[in-house]
Amino acid sequence: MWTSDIRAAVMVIAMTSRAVAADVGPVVGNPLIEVPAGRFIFGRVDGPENERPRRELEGQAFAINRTEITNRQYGLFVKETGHRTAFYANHPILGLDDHPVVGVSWGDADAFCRNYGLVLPTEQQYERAARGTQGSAFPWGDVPPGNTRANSGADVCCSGDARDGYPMTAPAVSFADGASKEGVLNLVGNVWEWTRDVYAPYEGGTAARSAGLYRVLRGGSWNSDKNHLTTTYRLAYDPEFRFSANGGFRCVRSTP
Amino acid sequence: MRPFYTLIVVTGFLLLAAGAGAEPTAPAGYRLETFNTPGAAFAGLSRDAGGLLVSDLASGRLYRRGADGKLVAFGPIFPHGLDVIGDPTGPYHVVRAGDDLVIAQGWTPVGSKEGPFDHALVALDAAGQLRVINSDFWNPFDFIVAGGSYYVVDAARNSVERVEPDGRKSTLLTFQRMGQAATALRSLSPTEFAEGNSYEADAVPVGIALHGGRLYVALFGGFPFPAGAGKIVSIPEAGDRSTPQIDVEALNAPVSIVFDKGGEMLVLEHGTYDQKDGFRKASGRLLKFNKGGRERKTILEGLTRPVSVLVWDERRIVISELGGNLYVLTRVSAR
Repeated sequence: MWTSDIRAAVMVIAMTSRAVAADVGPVVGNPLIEVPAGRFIFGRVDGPENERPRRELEGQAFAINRTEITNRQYGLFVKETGHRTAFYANHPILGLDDHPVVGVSWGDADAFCRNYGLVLPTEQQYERAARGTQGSAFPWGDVPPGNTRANSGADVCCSGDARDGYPMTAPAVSFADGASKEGVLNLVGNVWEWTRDVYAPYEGGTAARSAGLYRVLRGGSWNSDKNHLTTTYRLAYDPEFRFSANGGFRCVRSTP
Repeated sequence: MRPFYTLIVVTGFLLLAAGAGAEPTAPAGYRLETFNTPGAAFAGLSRDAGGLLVSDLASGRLYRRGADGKLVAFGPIFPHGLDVIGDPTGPYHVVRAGDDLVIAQGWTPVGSKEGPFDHALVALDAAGQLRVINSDFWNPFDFIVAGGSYYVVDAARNSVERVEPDGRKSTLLTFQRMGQAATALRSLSPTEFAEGNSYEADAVPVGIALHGGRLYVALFGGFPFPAGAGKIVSIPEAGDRSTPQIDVEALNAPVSIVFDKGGEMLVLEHGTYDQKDGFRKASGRLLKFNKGGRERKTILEGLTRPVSVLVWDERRIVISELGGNLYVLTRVSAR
């Protein structure tokens, strides 16, 4: 155990140093981090039924925003396009410039990404970015988040708490200890992140199929308990819902 | 579970900008008159001798409507604007209390520096001078005057407060969160609101009335305002107030409560809430309950974002809407 932990730590450092494999990207102040093609683990068998089965997939390379889209970045998009503002744009905490934008529907998030030639990540891209290639429990490995790796909530669903320093959202650039091996921040915690995918059972899965059309959010947020604060939890929601104080997004650029 | 739509501890009561709605129609036996003031967002109603008092959240003004039907502004312009989630805030309610008029002023508008009159009970004397009675509220949405005291509902602390004329304040009751069946929210998320699940919503007090020695409180039901989650509860004005009595359930966001001359309870429902678009147009209603509270009758429907109801006399009822409407409903037939 010790040996593998030390090896893992060394790899984290090594891979983190490779986080320079990024370009500035089209979203000012939010570079795109390269995630290389290759095999990775998707899904798991020891969680909720809708996360099954666990499969090894071949993924294409893509690049993902280093941080969740911020209020400043979303505000610039609104100014440039005339798109509607985020619901909590004026909130004294949720609306801070360097905090992730919240109060956006799936359509709002999709429009932002497309405006910059990007798209929302798929669930597979999210899991590859958040779990690495080996299907880790968290972006940093398998140890629980604690108060330094993720902005999460109370022990019992679903209240925020400030044990991690933030009663609500934290700045998008925060919790460096919780970065992924590629250097992507807050893939777990802070805000749920819209994905591109329609909610449905995984291929080979046995979860019930929903009657309506829902999009999936990933990653948990500042008010999530440990059951929701995972890299595999699938939160299906009405894509038009825009009143959430803990739902945001980031974008990806897929490599053809 | 409610991991995504979440809390909104600051929300309390959503008063999203009202859109124009279909005009309500008078029920049989009643005549309905509509008085619209473009741009206004009318809130609390009260009677001052022969005049109707109404506050306007859009302008921060207080108005008196006399026998000629004209609205005349008086007093200062109170802080007004939108709060952090886009709801109008300002003077919620003005009520005569002896020689003064007392105003319940909402919380600080976004972008404004907090002032002495924000989230406060404020007295306006005959000389036009303002005096803060108490500003230790978060969102004092409604109040009544009884026996020289003020009974205030704080729609953010979810409490009923008693305030003496000298400003001393005591909390009579703080409402706990209300459990709700997840059924109403299943369309929002199949993973979070599955069959058999439940969740909790804030019990937001927004209206208060005193009748027969009991304080009746309208509990709006917190975000996301599921249909049927509203309640009317009551506590004794004096005595053990620890356990409120549930008088009426299954209401759609009750916002104002009043008793008519015959002792029957009138409840104004703000409306039903669409998770995508907010409160539905024309979904507000005025309901009347018999003395036992068991039988309900719809007096008026088709209201859009109504806020306050006032019994004017034995035949007339006045209702305000955020869209700038004042309705006068007059009973023209015998009971």
